[in-house]
Amino acid sequence: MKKLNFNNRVSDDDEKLIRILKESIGQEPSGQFIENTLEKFLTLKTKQNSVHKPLKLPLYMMLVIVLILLVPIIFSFGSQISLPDAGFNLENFFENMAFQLDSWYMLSPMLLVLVLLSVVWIELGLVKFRNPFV
Amino acid sequence: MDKSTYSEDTAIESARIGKDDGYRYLLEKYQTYAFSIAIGIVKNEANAEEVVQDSFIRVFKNIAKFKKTGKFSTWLYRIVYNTSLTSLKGKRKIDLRSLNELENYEFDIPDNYANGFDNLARNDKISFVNKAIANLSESENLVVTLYYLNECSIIEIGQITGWNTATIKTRLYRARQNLYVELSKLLGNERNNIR
Repeated sequence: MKKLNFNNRVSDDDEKLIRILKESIGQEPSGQFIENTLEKFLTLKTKQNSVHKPLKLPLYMMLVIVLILLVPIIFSFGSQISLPDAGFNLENFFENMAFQLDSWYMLSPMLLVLVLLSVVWIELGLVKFRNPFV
Repeated sequence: MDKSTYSEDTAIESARIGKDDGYRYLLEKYQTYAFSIAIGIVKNEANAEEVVQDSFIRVFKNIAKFKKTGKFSTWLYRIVYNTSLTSLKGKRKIDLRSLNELENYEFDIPDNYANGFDNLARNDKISFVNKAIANLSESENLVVTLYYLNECSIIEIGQITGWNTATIKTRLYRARQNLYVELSKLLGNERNNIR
């Protein structure tokens, strides 16, 4: 009768079998395994480093700017729709919208500068990732 | 690399900062253990080598995330185990049926084994054990590899496979019992062939 002792793997009186078992199941991969694995890993690492990863912040900034640009259009249209008794007509609608757009886009040079800065930022990131020596 | 002064911790630190000698040390130390786990599950040398290679690459990529509170080997073996299972998907499923857990881990050794195994030459013993292991199920093969070759504790095997302690003990018990049964069958066949 044999009883397994889980606290000591060779204490169940069959040490010889355990030794043979260890030799039998210990199998090695091919001779070039280490070199192949290192080469594959280092190639992957190099590829990963050279991939351009654009910074996300300028992209978010550009989205915000686009939204800011769209706000007057949305609001002028919305105000006309929500007030149907104010004598809605197409001419007034375009006049109002033009007025609101005009005042809103007083800010346009500043917005334009911000957009340009974002683009430059992305491009600088691009140059930096592609050429680590710059 | 001077292996006498180069410890596993040093290798892990080197690998963390991207030094090749760290990767090489870990590959040299664990390739046999990792390969033995993979081949026990995927049952094919080429696939097992691919699995182990993918596992090491995953480990190296994520080595910065490795927490020193656990053992590196346990972390690696878990990745090898999971990668092996993933490579089996769509091909064949590992036999992980639930077991009736046991209270008593005693069994009788078949007479054929008791009378024959010790008399074999060393090479014959290895060959017989190899054949007997090949007839074990994947889960039995895996638990034997982890417990006897990789010298993982029951708790570590649990961390690697996700099996509970009772299941591991039962699988280990069944594996040992089946190993004796398979060996005694092989010894019986050998005797019949000689006669």
